[in-house]
Amino acid sequence: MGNIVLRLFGPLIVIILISCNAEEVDPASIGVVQEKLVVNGIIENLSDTLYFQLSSSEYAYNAEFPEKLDTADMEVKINGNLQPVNFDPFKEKFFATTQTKENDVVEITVKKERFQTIFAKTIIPSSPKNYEVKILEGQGLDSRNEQSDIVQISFIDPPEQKNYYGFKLLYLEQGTNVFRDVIFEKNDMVLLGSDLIEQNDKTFIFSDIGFNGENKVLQIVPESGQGNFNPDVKYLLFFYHLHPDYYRYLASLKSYNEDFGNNDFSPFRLSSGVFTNVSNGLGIWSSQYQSIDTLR
Amino acid sequence: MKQLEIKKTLLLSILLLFSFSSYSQYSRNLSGYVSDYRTGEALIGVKISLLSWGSVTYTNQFGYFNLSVPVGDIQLEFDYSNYKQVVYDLNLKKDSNVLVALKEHVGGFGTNNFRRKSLNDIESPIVGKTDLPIELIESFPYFLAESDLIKGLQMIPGVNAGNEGFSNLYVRGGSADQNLLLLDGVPVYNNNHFFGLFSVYNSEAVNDAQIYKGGMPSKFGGRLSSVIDITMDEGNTNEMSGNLTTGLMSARLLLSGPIGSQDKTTYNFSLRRTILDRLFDPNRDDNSETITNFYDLNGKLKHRIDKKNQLFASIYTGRDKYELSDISTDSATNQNFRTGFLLKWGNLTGNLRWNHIFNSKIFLNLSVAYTQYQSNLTYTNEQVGTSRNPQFTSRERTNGIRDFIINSDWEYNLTNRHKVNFGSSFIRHNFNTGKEKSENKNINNTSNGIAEIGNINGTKTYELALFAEDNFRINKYHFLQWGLRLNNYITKGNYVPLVSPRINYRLILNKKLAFKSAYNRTYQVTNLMTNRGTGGLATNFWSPSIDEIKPQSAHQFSLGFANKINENLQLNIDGYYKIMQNVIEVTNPNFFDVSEDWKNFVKQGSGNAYGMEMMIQKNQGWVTGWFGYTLSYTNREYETLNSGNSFPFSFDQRHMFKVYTNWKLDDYLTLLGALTAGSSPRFTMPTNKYYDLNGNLVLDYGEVNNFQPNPYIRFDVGWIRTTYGVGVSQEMKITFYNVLATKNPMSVFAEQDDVQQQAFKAMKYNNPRFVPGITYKMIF
Repeated sequence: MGNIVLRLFGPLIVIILISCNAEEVDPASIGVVQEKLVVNGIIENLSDTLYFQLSSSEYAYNAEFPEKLDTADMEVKINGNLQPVNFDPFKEKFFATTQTKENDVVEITVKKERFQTIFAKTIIPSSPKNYEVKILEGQGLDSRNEQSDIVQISFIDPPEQKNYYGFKLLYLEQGTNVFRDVIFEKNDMVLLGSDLIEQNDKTFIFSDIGFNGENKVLQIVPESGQGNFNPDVKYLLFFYHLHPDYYRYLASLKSYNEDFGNNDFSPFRLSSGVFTNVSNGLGIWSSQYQSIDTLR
Repeated sequence: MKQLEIKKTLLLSILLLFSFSSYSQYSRNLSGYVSDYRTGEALIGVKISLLSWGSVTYTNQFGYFNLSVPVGDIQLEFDYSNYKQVVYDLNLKKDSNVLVALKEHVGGFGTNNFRRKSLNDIESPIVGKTDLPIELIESFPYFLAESDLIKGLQMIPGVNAGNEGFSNLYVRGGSADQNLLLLDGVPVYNNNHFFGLFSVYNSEAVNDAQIYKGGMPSKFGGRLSSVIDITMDEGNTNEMSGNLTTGLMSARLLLSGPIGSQDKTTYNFSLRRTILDRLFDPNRDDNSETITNFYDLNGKLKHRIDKKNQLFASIYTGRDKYELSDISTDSATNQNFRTGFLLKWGNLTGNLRWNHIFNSKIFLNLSVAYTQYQSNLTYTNEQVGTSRNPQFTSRERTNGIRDFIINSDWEYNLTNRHKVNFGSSFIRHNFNTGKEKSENKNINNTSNGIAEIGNINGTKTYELALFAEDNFRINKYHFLQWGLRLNNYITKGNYVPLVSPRINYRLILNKKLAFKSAYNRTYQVTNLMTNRGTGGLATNFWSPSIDEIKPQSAHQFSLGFANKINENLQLNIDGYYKIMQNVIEVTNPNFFDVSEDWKNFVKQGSGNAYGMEMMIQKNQGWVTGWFGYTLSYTNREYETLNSGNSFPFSFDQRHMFKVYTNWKLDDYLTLLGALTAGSSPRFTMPTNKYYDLNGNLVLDYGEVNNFQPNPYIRFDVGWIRTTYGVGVSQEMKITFYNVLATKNPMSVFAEQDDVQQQAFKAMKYNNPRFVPGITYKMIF
């Protein structure tokens, strides 16, 4: 019976399977695409050198890599003052030797043949008001119910706009000069929010949702074995106040990486691009205010 | 002084609006049910006119009507398409309750006989409402000659099918989850069988179906874009009847008839199951097996207790199963393992209803219902062929939703000018947004350990909606339906009042032309987590509006003209403008990881949709069908998508032409043709690649939905051959799907080249082309 049915319906099944095939789209049908200039630079207040990379985009369906550029007609201005820019061939980056501070306006304009002129601007965020970091020695309990330090960060969030912050906490491993990431329980609201970005280097970035315009006290309780409640252990805390564009860039990059990685599972996904604040171009030109504190 | 005048004017207006006493000459009330003479089934939408007085009413979904009539001799006309029009001379001495049976009109040689005169009657006060001709949809020449209600709905102007191959509906720019699909008054949460190729609605078990795209009565709520109200067959009161159908994909059995001899109780039972898996398995061999199947079971019981009381019990259950198993050998240990993958999803609905006529003015429909959708995905790994402590591990992921519902719908015929509908609806939702159970046990079935993660206890939310609506027949020309729906949404102890005013206005300009307009406010607190708005995949899940996820909402304004060109031909032109807030887009929902919080992937934004729909329909004669054209614009805007700029919705398909014709050449042969042509869905394709801040290669997608493939064209044809015997007739339906063999993309996406990692390529999956189908039906 099975054979008879197979003979009857087999050809039909084959027709259906063959007629529902995958094929490559002619890239030309996606339309003419203009290549763009790409600039990537994050400016920080504590650094005395401003680095950024310039490259060009490449048509997605070509087999070539995008080109990293070492020459271009460019202007970098800080508060309207033109800065001399050089190229570092080892880092494949441009740099300007200058110290920036909070509220500085940093602009870039790049002109190059074949490309549209690009422009980007950022204002270095201000230092958080009433910013204070301290250790509450042995006053915390970690997830194993063991006594631990509390690293407490407090500041006042400006009410007028949405603000973004980040921190990275390290401890100095005893008997070495190596700083290691502190693992801690995420029990604060900001570390549980959907807008939290955890970067590969264990920098945690969050928004002021839930404490907009208020005094924020963020307590971090290191886990057991992370040098907790040991008076000899030093902590190193990096705290950032991010420009909103930088946050948007990181958030979109995270979404992009998750999205593209999921390609095999769902061809019906919504593809999301990476945020850019570069007019007529791609990439990110943004800034963050940075504080570094050694505790103990 | 001026304020006083304004108050007086307002008071006067209100008094005029409620001028019930001016119709005190109507001192008798007549109510009852209208049914089919042959089968005894309720007839929905029968027009009942009090001749010479201008009063008109229509039967509701139970065939119930209610009319105030004057003392003395009156003439009452019952009018329903393809049924013999009857006029009764009455003289009521007191309020009365009647049962009326209408005889079907037997058409001439080679004519179609469809119940509904028009898909959108000019007298209907609601703009954008379409009554679906079930008989036409049953003959639709769809894939493998299967009948499918949703595929028929996709042919209506203003309703897009979205991605080819799915049983989704995108109504007036809305998303797939914005349609309330009611099967005998109970929501159905997943329409898709066989990964969307077929819908869960077995059209043979359906008595009536209506779609509301624009104006919406107040009793409906919970979705932004449309309501599809499907009523199942009640059963034949006079004799047992049924049919048996078999095709390449499925076999169906329908049975209908009375229970007992008093014609008080009827049943309708239908079963559909795939037969393809029983006939042919392309992957089956000694070590591997693939099983794909689905079934549906619809059942309905009706019991007429007396003239004033009726009971209904209806049930629907359907399930899909996709199973893969494979035996492989570990070369290092020479151990055999059987790995299994089992995906099951399905709906279960049940409803108990009681109709009661309190007096000839008040009608109650009380219902207690339950609906459930559940999806299970199970992986198993079993050691086979060994007697030494063999191991078995399994991981089962589930998601779903369960609703417990109590509804009360009241109809109060205040006067013939004011019919008031009011009632309440309580829903207890229990969402399972994803949980996973892992188990490890030995062959003796002794568990070594069970671990459960995810949404273990479910998330419960509650809706208590109260509604009231006045159907105000101002005069012969003007009709106003105005009402209010207050939905009290309770979640995690928070109370959110959602107020939805509804206004529908109709003006009959002359015997052939009517103008209609509507304003709708709608809210939605249940959301489908899906990519690109493509619902229907078993891994998609329903989630509540909770915490930071706000309820979706919309305002819709509609205008329309209905023109009855002649007895058989009608033209409808509707325009609409819809503003949507808190609409949902889900970016990268990792459906396979239940430890992730689904809320992390939800983005909420705004949207708008506007356009025009035109439909010319012919419902009688040897050629029937319709021609539809839709011009539509649909946009979305999210703060964190597309750089915050507005972009066209994935299913923003500017022009759509839809033609369906049914040519009844004689009583034995009917030719079928369905053409869909227009703009394709949109896809987001990368344009450039570049280095990110970390030096990695990323794609620049440019604008969201920046790529629209060539226009979509699909032409399906077929014919039905009927033969008649004593007590039994037979139908052979043969169809050819996509007879033009056009390559319409089901999906377009980019992927990295396997060899050259820096290169990307754009790929598309096409729909099937030129697929023949056949079904054989025996009607008894």
